[in-house]
Amino acid sequence: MLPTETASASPASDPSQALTSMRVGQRGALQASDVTPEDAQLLGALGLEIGATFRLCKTGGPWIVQVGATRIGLAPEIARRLVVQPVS
Amino acid sequence: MTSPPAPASAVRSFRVALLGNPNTGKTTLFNKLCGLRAKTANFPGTTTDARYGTFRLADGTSATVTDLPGAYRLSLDLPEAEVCRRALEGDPGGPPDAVVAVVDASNLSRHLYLVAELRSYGLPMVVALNMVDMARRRGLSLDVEKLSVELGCPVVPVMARAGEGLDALRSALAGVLGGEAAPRSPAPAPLDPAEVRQWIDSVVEHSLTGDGDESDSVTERLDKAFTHPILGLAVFVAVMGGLFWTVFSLASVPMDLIDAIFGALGGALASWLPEGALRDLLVDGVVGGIAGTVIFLPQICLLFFLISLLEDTGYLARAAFVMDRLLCRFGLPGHAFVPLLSSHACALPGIMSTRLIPDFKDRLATILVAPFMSCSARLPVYVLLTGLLFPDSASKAALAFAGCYALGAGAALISAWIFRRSWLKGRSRPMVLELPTYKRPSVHSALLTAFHQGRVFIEKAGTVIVAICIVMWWLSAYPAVDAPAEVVDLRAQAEASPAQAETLIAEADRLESRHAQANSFAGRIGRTMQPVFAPLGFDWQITVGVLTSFLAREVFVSTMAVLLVGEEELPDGVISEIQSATRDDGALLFDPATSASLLVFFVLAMQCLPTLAVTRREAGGRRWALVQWLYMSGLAWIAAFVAYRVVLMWGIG
Repeated sequence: MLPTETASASPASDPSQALTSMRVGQRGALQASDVTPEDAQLLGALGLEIGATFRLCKTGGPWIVQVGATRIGLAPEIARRLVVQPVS
Repeated sequence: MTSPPAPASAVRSFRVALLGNPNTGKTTLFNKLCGLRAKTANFPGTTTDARYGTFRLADGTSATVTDLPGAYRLSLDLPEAEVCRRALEGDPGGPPDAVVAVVDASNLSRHLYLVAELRSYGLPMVVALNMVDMARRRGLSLDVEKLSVELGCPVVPVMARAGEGLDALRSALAGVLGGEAAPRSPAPAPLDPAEVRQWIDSVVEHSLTGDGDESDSVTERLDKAFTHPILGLAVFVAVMGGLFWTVFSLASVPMDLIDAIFGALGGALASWLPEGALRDLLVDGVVGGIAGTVIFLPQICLLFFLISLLEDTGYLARAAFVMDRLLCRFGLPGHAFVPLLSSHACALPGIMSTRLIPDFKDRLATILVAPFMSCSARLPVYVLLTGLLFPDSASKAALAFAGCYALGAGAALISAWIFRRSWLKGRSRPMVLELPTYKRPSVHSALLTAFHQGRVFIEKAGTVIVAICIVMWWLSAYPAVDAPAEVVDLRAQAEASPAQAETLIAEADRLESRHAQANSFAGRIGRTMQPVFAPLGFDWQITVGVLTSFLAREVFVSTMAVLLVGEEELPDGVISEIQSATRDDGALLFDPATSASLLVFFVLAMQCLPTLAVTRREAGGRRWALVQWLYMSGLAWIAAFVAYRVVLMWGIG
């Protein structure tokens, strides 16, 4: 696993939380990830980089997030390892 | 006065590389540009195949375009990214003369990362801005002129699916290749990720208005349904059931036609040619061999046509998540679903498509178990043996047929579980997958895919399989031996008593044919190897059929036809001939226990030389091909032995 990376800018005053604790329709910014370097690379290539904002479209297996126009399906094991900060 | 020959440069064919993210419509654009003028080849030294095609530029110059594998970023440590990097660096044959970067206009920001990387190569480039219609629907407004200035190369809006914008693309390419318009991108873009992101933000800010990430209620609802634990599974079963039902029901018509055509051709050849070795070779060896293979073509084409349509709709990515829940329990990722599905047509493209699986161990486990899935080549053997097992009950035969598919799939999953707890220890990599936009599928692209896969199969059939059939015919026809005394006596009796002549001659022919086959090279090989297969109920004839089918399964039926029908005229139905075949002691050759054990053997055994060759290439060594061959064949022997003993003890049906 990669050491946890943290976004330099905090988009809101809410505390950080796991992606899996967000609600459908809520927006968030990826703050840190605790996944393998390969998964981190792939997430980044799909647009889900540290600091990127997204919208949570579906919970459960798979978790679906939308970054820009890209919809990304995430296995629960990955979703649990993403630390996000809700944004309004 | 004749005009002088054109200088070499005037007739030169330019080399163009086509690159883009996955799901950008890159291959659709390639198909529209090249149509049927495309070929597939492997990149030297890699396991990734690429399609090459030719098309005319606006000035009439010919261009060869390479459809490189879809890659999100060139810097990723993935096989497809490496192939793209190597192609751009000039391996093989030097760098391309120009690059066409296919970009999804509705998702510009993400796709520009690849464009930034491509700019660093300093090659003449044209950006094909695909899916502009979708971008418009999402409320995005693009200023193409400004984008072109920002990127430092021509930008051409296209709608690959509809074939719109292709002429403009050809003109732009002719321009950059002729050095007329923006021959080179300006200074290479920075490759530090943060700087690239900054550059992308700047380009987007100057050329795009609208954010396009608003929710789409239809997509939201479909995703929810298709990936739901219960509803998603129900949809998956319905879709796959429909797919296989369509393949089997629709393919039967052209298959019957092919059967009839080759039957007529064999009959015509048999009546035109004088009796002798040449007639036997052509009728039994060549025509029989080709017919037994080409007959699967409709199923293969239809399956790939439907898979291509499904993939195009965007559904397969969702189905991969449905399958992930099941597959991950056995150590396989959801990504393995498409390769395993393709393997139902043929393990070769199935194994080739495992390159989409990002993790090496996941990929290797999928490669090792993919040939367990029942491919088209097994179908005639299933048809033959289930028919022999249940000659009076079509429903039981159909059930046994479906059971073969279930046995193959079950063996694949259990074997994957074993591999992931032994040689390939570890869990499957959790899935991260782009869910492409739902789209109306392109029938044109699906037809080209089916045509391409059919051609690959025919090329294989035209070489390996026909060669095996010819060799098998030769092995079973030579050396020629004198008729045994018993046959000579029977023929003498026939001459003496004309009333019984017909019966006596028929018996003499049967005995002579059996004697010739038993003493042929094939017969000798079969007798030598028969002790290995005796516990499974196989006699020397079946042993020969099984041995030849280790090269390619589909030759089993034709081998049995050549062996059992011998030099007689082409039968009305090979199955009826095989059904009544006997062993040396006169007992029925395909008794229920033998048919059952043979059926189980064919479901599980690795009997395909081309598959082993592909496994060796894809897995990166002959060790894995050997493991696959030994594991599958060993398992097949044990399972067939169990089936044989069970049916002997308890009977069947």
